[in-house]
Amino acid sequence: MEELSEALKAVEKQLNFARKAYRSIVYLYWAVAFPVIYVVSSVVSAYTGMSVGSGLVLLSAAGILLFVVEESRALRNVIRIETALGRKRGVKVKYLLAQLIVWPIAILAIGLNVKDQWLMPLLSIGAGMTALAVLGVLFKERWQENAMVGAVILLSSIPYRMVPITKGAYTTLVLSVAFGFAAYCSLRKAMRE
Amino acid sequence: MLDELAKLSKSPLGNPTRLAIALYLLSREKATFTSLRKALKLTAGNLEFHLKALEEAGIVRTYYGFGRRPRKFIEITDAGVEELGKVLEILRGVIE
Repeated sequence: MEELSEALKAVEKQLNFARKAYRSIVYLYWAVAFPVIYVVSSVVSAYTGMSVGSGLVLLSAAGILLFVVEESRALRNVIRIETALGRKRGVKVKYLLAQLIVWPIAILAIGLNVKDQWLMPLLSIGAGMTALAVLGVLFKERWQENAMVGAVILLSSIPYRMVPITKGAYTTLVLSVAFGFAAYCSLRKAMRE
Repeated sequence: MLDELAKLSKSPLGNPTRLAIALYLLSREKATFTSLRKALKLTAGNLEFHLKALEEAGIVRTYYGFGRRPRKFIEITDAGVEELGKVLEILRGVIE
């Protein structure tokens, strides 16, 4: 009986880790996607003469679509694992809607006040992630990683005008570092538990 | 406890190898026949036998994908996830 109990605990621990790993995909995805979008837009612009801005818009749209597909798959796996573990929770529709509404509000609020081409997305994403963290607290969902991403981005926007590299590269690096750091912390926490 | 063990023996996942297959598949979206065979240290014939039983019970789904050569993929179905949840629940009950 003791062996069975140990085996069951080991199984549950492994499934829990898998669940948390799937949940950290969102951060890993964007940690990779931002540099890819920036580099590909720059390369396409160099060879075709298309403006970097147009390339960024097109690739960002593609990145968001691919993200929706990836996130849906990850969410499906998380729900399946939670079902097997007997921790099935209903989908919080209000929470999902609130998460969707936050982004246009953050982009609009920052866009109206900041005109810089690269500072605007940096602040919008920072504000959006901070708002997601607040929603997480309100709806009693995980919020720490989103707060971390928001804080790293917003704090990194302070020296934005002083850094000696191009603004596009700096924005991309900050976004990638913020999401990469959140993924690292999220996975390390899952491995420790 | 005897009732619970009786329920377990009737489940398609009552066999330890089949339970291990379902658990392996749950934490992955899908697995190839070869990766599953290697991970669970089973012979091809043995795995084929258990997969056939699981597929007939609606626990897993197998299909062929094409890369450099055709490969057999296996994934757990929603019914399989439900059944696995029930089996884990029974096992938790037995321990308690």
